[in-house]
Amino acid sequence: MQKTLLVAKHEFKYMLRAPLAWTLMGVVLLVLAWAFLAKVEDFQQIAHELQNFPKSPGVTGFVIMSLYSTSSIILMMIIPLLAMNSFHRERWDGKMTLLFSAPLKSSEIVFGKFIGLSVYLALMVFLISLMPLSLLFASPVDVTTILLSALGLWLLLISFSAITLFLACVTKEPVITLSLSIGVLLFLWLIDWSSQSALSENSLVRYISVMKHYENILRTKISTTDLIYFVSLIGLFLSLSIHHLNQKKENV
Amino acid sequence: MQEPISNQNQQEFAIELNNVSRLFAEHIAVCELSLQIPQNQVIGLLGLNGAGKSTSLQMLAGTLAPSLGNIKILGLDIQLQAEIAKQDIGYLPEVPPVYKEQTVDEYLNFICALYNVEKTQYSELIQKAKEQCGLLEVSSRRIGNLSKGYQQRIGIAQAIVHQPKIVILDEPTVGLDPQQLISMREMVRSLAEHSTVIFSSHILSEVCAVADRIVMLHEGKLVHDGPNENQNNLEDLFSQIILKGVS
Repeated sequence: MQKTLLVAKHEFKYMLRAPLAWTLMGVVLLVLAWAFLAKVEDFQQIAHELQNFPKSPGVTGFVIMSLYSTSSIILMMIIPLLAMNSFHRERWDGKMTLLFSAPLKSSEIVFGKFIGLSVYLALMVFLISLMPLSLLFASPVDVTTILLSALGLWLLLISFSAITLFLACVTKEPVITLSLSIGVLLFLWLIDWSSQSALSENSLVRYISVMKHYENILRTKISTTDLIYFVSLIGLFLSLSIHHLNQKKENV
Repeated sequence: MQEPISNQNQQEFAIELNNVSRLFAEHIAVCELSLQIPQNQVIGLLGLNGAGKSTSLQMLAGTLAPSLGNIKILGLDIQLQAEIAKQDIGYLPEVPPVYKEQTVDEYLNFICALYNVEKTQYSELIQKAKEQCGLLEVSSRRIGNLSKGYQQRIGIAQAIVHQPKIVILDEPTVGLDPQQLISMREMVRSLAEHSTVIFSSHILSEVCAVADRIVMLHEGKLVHDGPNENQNNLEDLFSQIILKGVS
């Protein structure tokens, strides 16, 4: 555990110094701030009309859910860039050898990198969540919804990271990792997109769809099934990464 | 430093390679290599490019598994007891594995933590490694801003900072100027007081200047293994290998 935390701390420190991590965070926050302000403006224009409806979504449903939905789509494209860099940059300049030659287990390397990334993503989710929290100054907002949405977004992002980490382990070319990651994430996102499709009625397909579980959390209908889904997804891809690193020395 | 769980006093050899081969697809990079290296000896691994030097050193460092045979480091199998065996190894690969965004001190601190050095010993060991590698004046500089020669020396410092019993250096003199080359030779000799050193080079004079024993590889096979004496014979053999390659 001590070595895992050492690798995690090292990874997080690297991200704090890396221009890529800050640039991506800056761009994401800028785009989301723009989308958030646009949505707040829309809400202000129709707020008095919404009051006539007994079950109107209110600021929480109208602005906050929209912000977290938009965040998830934008970050789905960004996470592969961040997570693949975690392994590929080590490969480019030979530092993977340093970790392989040190008294470290493959699991300590994988978990360490994953935890480092997860802490960085928690920081990103926190900064995104400051936007809806700022509404507290002007309007009553459901803080529980914000907290649950933030948790949902973080679980979603770290699941995406685990998938990309695995793909970065098994591929040598960053461009291939990026293409595959975006492909896999889009697949998990869109698998039950069409409500007309016979597939979307299939319970297995519904369970695999990351969108369903994320939406449940955003609607504050979180269940243990959703949590188990995210934990299993992360566990599966981290285990595959560890297994692959163990095999790597044999097959290089 | 935490002691690995091995009874090192009972070990006759620091390093043992038993019929070690390494294949990459159908290409044989190392073929049935067997060596027994006693403690505190300096071994020069000599060979042309592609002779199998780096592959052999990677297998010794535990970053690459042999296809056949086994390797023992201080009596421990490098594959089966990897974490314990690696505790006693310091390895400089062909490309120095440095984190360019870190300062020299931060980097060496990270290495000490990786190798389970007691925190109270960090500053003493880091200071010693920096002295040995001539890094005192760049302690707080970012590695990425230093020259290639300095980065090579930082790579050497990371291999010796935790005072390993086995030091493996792959082409350690690449990028060093003549003055640094002389201090490098002195450093290798001083390391041999407490460690077994194995280093590779494709320059005969460099190997002869430092090594107690010279191991020559050609096309993955052992072609010479003996003490560092009778350099004329070695020169003849090495010339034959070079000429064979040219023809």
